[in-house]
Amino acid sequence: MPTIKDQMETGRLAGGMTFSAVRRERLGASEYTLATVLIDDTGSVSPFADQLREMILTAIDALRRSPHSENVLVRVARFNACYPNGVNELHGFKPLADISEQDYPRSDPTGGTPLYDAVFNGVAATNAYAQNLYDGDLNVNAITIIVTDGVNTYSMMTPAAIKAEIGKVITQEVLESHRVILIGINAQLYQAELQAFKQDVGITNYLDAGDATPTKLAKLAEFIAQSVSLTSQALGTGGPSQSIPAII
Amino acid sequence: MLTMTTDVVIQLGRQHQRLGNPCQDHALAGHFPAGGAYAVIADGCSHGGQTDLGARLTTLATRQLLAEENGSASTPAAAERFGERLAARLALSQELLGLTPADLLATSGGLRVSPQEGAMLRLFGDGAYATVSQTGEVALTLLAWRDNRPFYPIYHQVGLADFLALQGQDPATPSLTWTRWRGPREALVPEAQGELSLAEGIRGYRRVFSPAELAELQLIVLFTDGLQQLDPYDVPTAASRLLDFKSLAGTFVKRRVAREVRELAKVGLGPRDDLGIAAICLTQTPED
Repeated sequence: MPTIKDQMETGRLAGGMTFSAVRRERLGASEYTLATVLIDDTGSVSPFADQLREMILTAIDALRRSPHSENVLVRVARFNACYPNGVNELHGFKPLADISEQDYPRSDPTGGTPLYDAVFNGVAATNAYAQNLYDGDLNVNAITIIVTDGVNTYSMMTPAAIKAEIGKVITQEVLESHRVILIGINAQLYQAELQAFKQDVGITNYLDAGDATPTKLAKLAEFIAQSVSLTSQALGTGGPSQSIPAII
Repeated sequence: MLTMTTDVVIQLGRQHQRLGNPCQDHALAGHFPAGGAYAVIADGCSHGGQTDLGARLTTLATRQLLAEENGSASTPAAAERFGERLAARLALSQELLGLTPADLLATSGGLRVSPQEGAMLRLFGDGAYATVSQTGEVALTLLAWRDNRPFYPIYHQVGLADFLALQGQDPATPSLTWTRWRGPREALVPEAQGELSLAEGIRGYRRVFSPAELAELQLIVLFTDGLQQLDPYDVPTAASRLLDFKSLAGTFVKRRVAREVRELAKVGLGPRDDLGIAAICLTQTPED
């Protein structure tokens, strides 16, 4: 019996980056939401790395119970300058039903923040996979969420490259919509810089999740699940969900 | 071993959409509990009554009769009288639900596939069907009644005399034309054309597939006659576009039609008439 691993394929991005995703011929529905969550795994998050892991597990669990959950394909990755190309994919785009706790091992964060690489990786992988699905007559929208506690310290990719990838939503007409949300956690010191980065590259929203407390992280999990769910409910409307909360 | 998957799509045409009218085509496809698969279409007369309901009742009644055949609850004589039996079921629905005969003016197309016995396709009225072979060759057959006056099964219960009068009374009158195209999907060319008599058309167009023929096929697809009104395409091009499945998993017909309609809508084109499609995908898998 084929396992989910047998059903995945690898896509290649610029700069030697890769991503994985379920093979298109394994998908039975007519439309999908591609949801990507990229999580800061740098030295500064080590005091709450376990809580970030719990946050993701909670978000995934909540998503499973949401409407249209069978039309959501989720990809989760961590970013850290020690990882090859700055990003460690925990799992590629796959149905919620195929995600297990084993997909999210505990981490031991160290290293700097390749924020540009992370954002580029998330957006470019979404664009590439969306093109693949579109070529198979599938209708696709997307949401990419990046959670960071700091600004970029070192990356191979540039803001210009990110801006070009984000701009493909309009030029390529493959995605119905692609909302990119940058979330700062414990990042009050860097708000101005992160807001500026958001403006420079065309990220949809920058939201401040506050301190990395259990309450705030629980709210963050709820926000991620709700945002993805609302995006999937907007499939077929031709536009993004209008009702994603503006605050966490 | 033959495994079968199915899918349908029911697409509202622009004419009805513009007027706020419901879709008058319907389609069903699936598996019988006893084994085997079915694909059914119906097209309600646009000048009838509530033929959106009539089309749905027609697909349900057709499926019911196909299930009886599949389960051997039907005799050869009963199979011959499929059209009359369908009309009787519709008349019962009419009485139970307070409908009128005008509500039940709908064509009926039904395909039953059994890995052991082969397949039987019946079409009452107009419509089309296509087969796609394992090698990708497509054979498309379009059925059209003279003067665009199709036979509706409900005529067996009421209106048959009027229908016969319009068609010229003589049962031998050529009344139903079939046209066939064949070739690779993207290059269908006319192959043949023929006519069925009035009597044959009332009895229903039939196509039997032997198990050996089934083994050579990948897809059998039924279309309502909305296939003829998919702007800007002619019939073979429309079929070619709608059969361009990128994969045969899950909702493969819905995906293809949705994409085609969306792309055509960008330039103000698409289905003028309602369109119903029902498909059975045949996959040969090795025995365990």
